[in-house]
Parts: sequence; structure tokens; C-alpha cells
Amino acid sequence: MSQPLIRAADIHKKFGHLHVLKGVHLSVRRGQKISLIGPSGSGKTTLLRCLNFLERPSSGHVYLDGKLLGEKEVKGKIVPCSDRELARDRTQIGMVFQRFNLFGHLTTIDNITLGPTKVLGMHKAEAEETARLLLAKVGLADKERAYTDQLSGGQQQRVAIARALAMKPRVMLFDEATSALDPELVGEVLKVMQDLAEEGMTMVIVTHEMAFAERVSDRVVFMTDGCVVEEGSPAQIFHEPQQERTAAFLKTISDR
Amino acid sequence: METYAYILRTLAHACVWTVTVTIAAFVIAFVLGSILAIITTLSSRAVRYLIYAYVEIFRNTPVLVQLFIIYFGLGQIGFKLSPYSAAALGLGMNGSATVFEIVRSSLKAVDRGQYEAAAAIGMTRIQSIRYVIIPQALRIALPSVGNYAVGLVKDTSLASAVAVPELAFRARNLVGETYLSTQIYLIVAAIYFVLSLPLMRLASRLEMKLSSGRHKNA
Repeated sequence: MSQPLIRAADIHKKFGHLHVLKGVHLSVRRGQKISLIGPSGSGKTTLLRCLNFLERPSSGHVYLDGKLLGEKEVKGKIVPCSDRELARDRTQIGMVFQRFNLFGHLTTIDNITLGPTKVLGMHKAEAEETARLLLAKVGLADKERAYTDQLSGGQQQRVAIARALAMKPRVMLFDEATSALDPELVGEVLKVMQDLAEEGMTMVIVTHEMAFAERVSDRVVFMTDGCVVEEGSPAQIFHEPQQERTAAFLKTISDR
Repeated sequence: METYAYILRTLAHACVWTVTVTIAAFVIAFVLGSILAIITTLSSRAVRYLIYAYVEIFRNTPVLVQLFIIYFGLGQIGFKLSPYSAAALGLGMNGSATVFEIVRSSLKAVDRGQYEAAAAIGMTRIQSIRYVIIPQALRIALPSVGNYAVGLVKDTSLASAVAVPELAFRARNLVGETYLSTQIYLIVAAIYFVLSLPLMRLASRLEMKLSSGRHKNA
């Protein structure tokens, strides 16, 4: 089997006295779609943020295509790598946030071209051409001159997805991408994510949308209290969970 | 009548000095204050404390005393500055402490998520500050910077203490020559008012343009 595209090995994360991740392993192969589910506070978002070093793990390592991410080996010791080296590796990892985080001072199209032009050094015209294709793909071709505050939450999130895709990432991380949306806007964002999955994008998805997780992912990881409790195929996790805590969690969700 | 013509001519001339000192001090204050604020967000603790010390010294001593130190004090130990340079430098450095606080709090006011989004598309820390944070922080800072500029126009009257021939200085001389103190100081007050008003307007116009006016081209 080929080497995982992203591998998190024995990740611990502490915020002061709070032990949020307690030795988590996760490995994501090329083209795989993995959903991280679990109760709030279980550490799934923190784990996702460790995968691109927005959070630096307290211990443990992340490997991108077999190579250390955010760290490097110097004389047999593993030390943090420079801001520039980390930034370069991050271009390969797209991220979509719960609160969209579009750049408020820029139009839609400028949000999408900022990374390619400033980070990848692409020409403005070429970047805009790509951006227009991406906007069409997320169904917002008519909104390229709009500012963030003129868009609905669902539209903003679709722009945010286009912005991440413009960097041509090898993997996309979704941090509760629909949790901040009004219920009627969730569908349009999930649709874009599903299209992306069908195109073969490697995806790691933190979500509370169980039906979506079941439909789109090929592996589901259930976390609670900073540990991975169980992982397996969607069919197994959602219909024949082996662990009591998984079953209990799914029951509270379906009882809602 | 001739006396009034003389008074107005003299004050018009003085006006040029007031405006020049304002502009020079503003440029120094804005550039220095902004740079110091940006450096504090990027630098080590030691550098940060040095900058805080600079800011606190300028914030907690009177401008007038600062001007005296720069003009008379530096002059005595061999760094003789012209009254104009001393005034521009003194008011500028004093203002840089104010601008520093404005810009620093504006940089802080930009949502954390903006840093994270910039990092997530592979920007280095400096790139995110430059392309994402500063443009948004300046927008937040603008109204306060405008207010500071209006205050500065009036504070330039302190430059009279180091003999810059601006409005307040000339007014005092004219009163000595003509004894028309009520009339002269009323005229001077009116001139300061006329100088400040458009600046105030400009600041609020810019503020409107940057916050909601951008919808026009959408």
C-alpha cells in the first residue's frame, strides 16, 4: 500500500492543564475521504488544526507525504522548522473554517487570487482565470465583484472553498464547514463538498452532519475525550458500532 | 483699517507655518507610530519592551517639556535644530505614541480568523500582516487617526514656545505691537477652526468611503 498523504502520529495537545488530544493516530491516504465525528470538546477540531499546524502539537508528529510537517530533523533531533518552510508546506493543504474567514477588505475574486499571486507567484491574469472557473464551479460566477458582507453565509463558505482550491492543494481540511450556517444554506455547501469528493479530492472532514458523513466518506473516525474510540467504514460506524460510546453518541444524535 | 490689513497679512503668513508644522509632525507621527506598532506584533519580547518604554515616556510627559528638551536641551549638547525642525520632531515623536496605540489596538481588533485563513493559504507571518491584516487594521484605525490629526493642528500652537513663527507666536507679537488682544485672538481662534473643520470632514468622508462606500463598485 502506498504511503499515507497525511499521517498524524501519537499527537498530544495540551492547552495549559487541559489535555485535549491524548495520543491520536490518524492516517489519510490519497483520494480518501475521512470524517471525524464525536461530541463537542472531543478534540476533533483540534486534531484537524494540528494537521496543518495551526495548532502545534504538544508532542507527536505530522507527516505530509512521508515528510515531517512543521518540523525538521537537525543532527538527529526534531526541531520546529521556520515560518517560511511551514508556509510552503501549508500551500499543499487547503482548509475551510467554520466561520469562513474570508478577507473582509477584498472582493470575492481577490480573495481567491490573493494566495496564488502572492504565495505561488502566479500572474494576476492567470490567477483570475482560474478564480473564475472556481467561482463557476461553486455556483457563484456572478458574484466575483461582491464583498464578503454582501454574501450569505452559504455563499461565503463556497467562496472560502474556492479560495482554498485555488492553491491546488493535495488535501482539503473542513472544520465544521456548515455549523455556522442557517439550516436552509447547509445543502448548497454540502453539495460543493460532495462534488469535490466525487472528483477524487483527498478530504478530512470534521462534521456534525451524520447523513453527509455516511454518504461521502469512505472512513469514519469517532473521537471522544481526546482519543480515537473507533474507526471504520461508514456502514460499520453508523450501523454496527463496536464500541458502547460510539453507539451512545449516535443515539443522542438521532434522538435530537 | 491699515492695522487690520497688517494683522491679517501677518497671520496669513503664520498660517503657512502652522500647516507646515502640522503636516511634518503628522507624517513623522504616522509613519513612526505605525512602524513601531507593526514591529511589536512581529518582534521578540525585548524589542517590544523597548518600544513600550519609548511610548510610555512620550505619553506621560508634557509635549511642551518634550519640545524644550529637543530644542534647548539637544541644542546645549551640540545638536542644534532649527525651531521648525525641533517642533516637527517633538510633535511628531509625541504623536507617534498616540498613533502607536491606535494602530496597535486596530491590529489587535482584526479577527484572529484572518491570520489563520492567511496562514492556511500558505502565507508567511509577514505576508499575512502585509496583505491581510494591515489593510483591515488601517480601516479600523482611520477615524481615530483623523481625530488625532485634528488635535495636532491645535497642538502646533505649542511650537510658539520654541519660536516657530506660527499662528500663536505671531498673534502674541501682534498683541504686543497693537494691543488689540481680543480682536487678534478671536481671529486666530477662527483660523484654527477653519483649518480643523475640513480635516474633520475629510476624516469622516474617508471613514464612510472605506466602510460602506465600497458597495458602489460591487
